[in-house]
Amino acid sequence: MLELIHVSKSFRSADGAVVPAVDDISMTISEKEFVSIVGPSGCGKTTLLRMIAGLETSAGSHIVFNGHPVHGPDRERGMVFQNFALFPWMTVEENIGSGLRFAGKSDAETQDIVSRYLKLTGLEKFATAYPMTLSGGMKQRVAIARTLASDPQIILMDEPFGALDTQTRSQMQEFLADLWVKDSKTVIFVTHDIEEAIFLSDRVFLMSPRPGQIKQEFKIPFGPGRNHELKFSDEFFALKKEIMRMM
Amino acid sequence: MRRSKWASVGLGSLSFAVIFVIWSAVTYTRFVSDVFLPTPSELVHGAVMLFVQRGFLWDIGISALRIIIGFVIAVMLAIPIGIALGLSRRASQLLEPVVDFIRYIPNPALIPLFILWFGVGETEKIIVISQTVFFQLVLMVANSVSFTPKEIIESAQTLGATRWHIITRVIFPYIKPRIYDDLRISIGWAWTALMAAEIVGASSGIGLIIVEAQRLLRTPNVVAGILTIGILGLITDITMKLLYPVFFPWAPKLEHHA
Repeated sequence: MLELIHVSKSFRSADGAVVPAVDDISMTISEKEFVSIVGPSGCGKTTLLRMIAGLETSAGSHIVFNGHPVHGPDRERGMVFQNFALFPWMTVEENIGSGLRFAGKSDAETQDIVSRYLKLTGLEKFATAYPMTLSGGMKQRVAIARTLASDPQIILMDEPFGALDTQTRSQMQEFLADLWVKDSKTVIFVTHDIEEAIFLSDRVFLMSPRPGQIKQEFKIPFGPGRNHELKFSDEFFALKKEIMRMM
Repeated sequence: MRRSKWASVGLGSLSFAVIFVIWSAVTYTRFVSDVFLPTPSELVHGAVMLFVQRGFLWDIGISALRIIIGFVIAVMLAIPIGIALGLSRRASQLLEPVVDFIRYIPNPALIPLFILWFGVGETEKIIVISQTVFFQLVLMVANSVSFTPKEIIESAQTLGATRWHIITRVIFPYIKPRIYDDLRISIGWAWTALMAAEIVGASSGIGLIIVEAQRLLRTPNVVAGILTIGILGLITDITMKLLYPVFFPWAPKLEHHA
């Protein structure tokens, strides 16, 4: 459903030098697949994700989504940001319904979908709260619910748990793994946390920095319905070691 | 929180109290002649006479009405134009130099020209107010637009927002508290502009009362007129600050910058 064909992107630095951020990346992602891109910070993984979202452009790059080249952002490619990027003037339920309202859905339909996602993400009690009153983990749940509610074909997640503390982070990982079983979507998940990537994904791409290239691809053999215990298994540990060695 | 609020009210009142004491001391002792500054009791007497004999309430009403009309016109123009300036670099390159140029002309310098064009009636008063407020406010609104975080706009785009949605349903609601604060500050200029206009030429209004009293050497009335403006300004300011959390329960408290 998503194809990257020789995707490259470079930036011009302050002194005028051309710095390659993403260099000749090709990959194919199929429907309902959960794919992670891991790599050290500054390796271009976020840039790559933003290009898929249509928030960054680059001449000569080919990103084909459902047979059409990507030009600019679109509701078919939803994005979850590291810093939540919620609309602070909207309550939780208004945030979740915002994509539906942009799409011109009726009040009744919006209400219906919003209450479904409030329940799915355990946010019912906070429906009328403003984002500023919520904890980081709660905010990210709202952001995920907001993206899911507008029913994109693919969800792009840019280090969504990067701003959370360790405990909240692992809760959110389980929450996402669980959610993905209930409401299966195609996901591209960017993180620098290898454990997180293995725990959530079907496939993990390892990126190397400067220029950002795909170093290796790993298939993750675990099935759906994962929980935290998995992280202590030998198989998980062996995979983690293998990826760490490659970095 | 509570305590610091009372402390700030206390300190605010203290400065008024100190001024009052010094004022009483220099006037009751006739250290300063009553031609220059009335005693507090003369002031109260003068103010009462203004209301009872001169119909001061009517003039206050007229001035307030001019402010409201002139201000509303300025705001209705400044918000959309300010947002357009904030959004489009070309529009701001085109208009900002002109706006800056006019903004720097002190408004009393323009009043003679406005009198030539519009006479000394209500039109001229309202134009003086609108003109002053508009040219200050429009740049503040344009500046406020730039405070919208890029991420919020991007997240709206990935949720399917059109460019028009971004302007009306993302940027505008996000900057509304800032614009509200801009309004609170610019209403002060409205008063400045109006006084200049009323003092130069008017048949009613607080400004007229002040110059009239000055010509007759009725210093208590002059001071009463000035204090009225100060009190009205203070009430407006406090009311707007108190209403801020009512209008924007979601917003963090703004640093009130004036």
